[in-house]
Amino acid sequence: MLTTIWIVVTITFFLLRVAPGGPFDSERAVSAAVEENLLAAYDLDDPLIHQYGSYIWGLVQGDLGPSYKQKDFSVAELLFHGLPISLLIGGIALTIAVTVGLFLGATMARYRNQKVDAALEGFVTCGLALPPLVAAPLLVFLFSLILRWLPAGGLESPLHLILPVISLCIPYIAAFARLSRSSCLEALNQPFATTAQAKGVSNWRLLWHHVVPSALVPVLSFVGPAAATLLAGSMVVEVFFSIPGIGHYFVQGALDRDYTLVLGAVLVYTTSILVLNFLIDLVFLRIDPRIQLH
Amino acid sequence: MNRYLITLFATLAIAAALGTSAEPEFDTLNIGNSAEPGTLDPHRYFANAEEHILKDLFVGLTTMGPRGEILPGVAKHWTTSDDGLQWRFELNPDAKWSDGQPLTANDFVFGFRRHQDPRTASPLAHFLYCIKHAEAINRGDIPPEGLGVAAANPHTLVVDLERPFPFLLERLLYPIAYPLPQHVIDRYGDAWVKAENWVSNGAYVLSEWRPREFVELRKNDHFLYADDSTIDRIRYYPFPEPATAYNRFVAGDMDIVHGYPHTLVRRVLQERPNEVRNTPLQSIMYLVINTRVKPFDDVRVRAALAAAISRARITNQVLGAGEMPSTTLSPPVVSGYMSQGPAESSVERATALLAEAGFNESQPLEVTLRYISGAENKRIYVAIAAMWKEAGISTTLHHTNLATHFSDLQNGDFQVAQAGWFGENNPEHYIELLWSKIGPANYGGYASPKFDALFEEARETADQEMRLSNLAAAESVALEEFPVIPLYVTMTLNLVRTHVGGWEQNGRNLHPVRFMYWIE
Repeated sequence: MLTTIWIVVTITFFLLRVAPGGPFDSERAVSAAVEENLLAAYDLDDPLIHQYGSYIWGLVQGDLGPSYKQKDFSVAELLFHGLPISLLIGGIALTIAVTVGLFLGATMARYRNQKVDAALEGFVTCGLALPPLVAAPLLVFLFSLILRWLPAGGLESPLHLILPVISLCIPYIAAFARLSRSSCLEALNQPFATTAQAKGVSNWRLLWHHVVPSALVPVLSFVGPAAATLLAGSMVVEVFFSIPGIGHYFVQGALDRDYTLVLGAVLVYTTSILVLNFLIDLVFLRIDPRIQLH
Repeated sequence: MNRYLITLFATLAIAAALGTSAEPEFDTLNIGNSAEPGTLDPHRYFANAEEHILKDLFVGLTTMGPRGEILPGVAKHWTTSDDGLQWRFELNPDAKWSDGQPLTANDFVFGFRRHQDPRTASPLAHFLYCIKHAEAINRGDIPPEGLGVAAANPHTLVVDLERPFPFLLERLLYPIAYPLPQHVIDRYGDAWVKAENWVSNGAYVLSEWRPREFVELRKNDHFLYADDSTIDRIRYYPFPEPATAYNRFVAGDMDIVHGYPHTLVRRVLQERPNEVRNTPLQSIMYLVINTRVKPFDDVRVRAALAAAISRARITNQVLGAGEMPSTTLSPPVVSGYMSQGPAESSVERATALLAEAGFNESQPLEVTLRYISGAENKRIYVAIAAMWKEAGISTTLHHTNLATHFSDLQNGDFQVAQAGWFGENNPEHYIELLWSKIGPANYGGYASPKFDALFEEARETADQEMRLSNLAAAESVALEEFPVIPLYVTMTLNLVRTHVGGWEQNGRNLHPVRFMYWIE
């Protein structure tokens, strides 16, 4: 795991430096002396390999370095402030996406090729076509500006979470629904399902007690990457709803050439993917008797 | 199906009618800022979003009134020597820091020295290079103690200049010239900017800063003019996306927003006439031409590019927020200064100039026009490419993000590119961009001995009127050679609720909250 993190950090470090421009380039050109002072203040005038060594050495000691653009905070302070917010919103969105997606998928499988299946398929297709970039403005326009039921942004109360969570989880509900529909259909064709039906088990009991548990494996394997993406925050949702999570730092940090901030965000993202995949593997061990630990 | 739709719309309509807009509570002034501040250290600040907050936290020797006028700040009055090289500021003896400590001339000395100290790495150190030895200190050649700023006594500050600079009082409005609390910085080091350690001398103090959520300020009871300010608490919210700022304003969350989407200008003017405060910014948007590369080293080619552009088409048809066309690099909004740029020309003139330079239909001039990515910019630069096409110029548009754009401009890696400059109500601030010794800000590498001589003469002139006239002469010499094509003065798009009084339009688009009040 540590090797993977080291490789990702190293690639990110050098990729960021290949990009043209630097953290102090802006529309207000500075004098040569000022630029030299700025580079020296952040050790950016050292040879690149030396900067890399210092960064890795700092990392080993738990120091993520200063932010070049948000100078009054260290990268650790910024991530420490933003991460719980991203975890909260991403966590709620993930829970809703998995449960609603699974329920919809199982229902579609239960009523396969009937009207309910077709109607839900339409809903799912719409959901897949509604990324936060589209859903967020639509939701704000309808629920905040026209109806005035929900806040347009900010983070002052639980009500403020509703629209960001919905815009974040819509495409994931759709993705989980599709995935669980196909794996439920596959499970329904297995001999154990036919046997259960022959023994007179009711359709719903068959679905929830026999089919869904065995259809969980492909669904769960998607939970890892989905969770990492949702928990690491979404730039679009954060900017649109003024949510101070960490998703913003990936994109804006990269545009601003705030090297250390992007590296910090990438570190959090990589670690969460690795940890989540590991946890999912542990869950697989429990639910799928075919998988064994060697 | 129709019945369901009708029911749905009826429900929505009723709900919309029942929905009430948020009533103002008059306890906190909520302001939408254009970005998250990068720092609240006045010496490390760089961006406009930071200046919006800093001007409520500190007061310098001079300060800005609601209409942009220069008012006495900590200094009660000041005098200048005949040669314009020495300024004496008499400070108000009642001035205090927010922790009750007296504020003296030594706090200014400490501030000015810290600003030029290379270890501070102030991005705007060069703004005060007019002070004696400032540039040498900033380069690390001499220690900060050698700076030409001294406390003659606790309430008198003497500033010696390298050369006359009649615009000093305006320059002192920038946060880089604020006094800093040495007793706090000595104690906390870089952590002095944290809310728990915060001490300043302005109308407000920092009470909380939640990154990318809000910056909260509370009234400073030790402020020199504390009785003037009636608003107790301010929150600055960062809205990098203007659409979010607009939504939050319409939803009733914000009292003031600095910036809403340019595409909504016409609609907002119609729907919110009492709340719109679009204001011309002391700024100039222009095209810079790389005079070091062929064929743009040929003045006829540069003149042809300028001749084919109709500024009115850009400001009226593409932008439409009241932007002011400008043929001069010093914006026409700068007061007390008149200069003349080359008159707008025609497509026919452009074609003739190109023919003289050896370009025609079979061998058209090919230009790569660079601009900063963004929907508004795209509309402007597509329009310019279309105008050039009418003159037979073939344009390739190339857009990149801001950091890459300006990095390439400073490295001379462009042919023709978008540029802009803003800030002051003095023409020198803009014209100096064409000076061959200014450094990377002269993106196009324009070097004219005639312009340089006139500009340097103006730079040494103490008498303001004569200096302005010299500057006008220098500017017209440069503009005849088309190193840049000035386009227009940009507009700031502000929205202010009708229950907020004291918000006045000004060319710097900075609005001190101490002059604002609630209208109940």
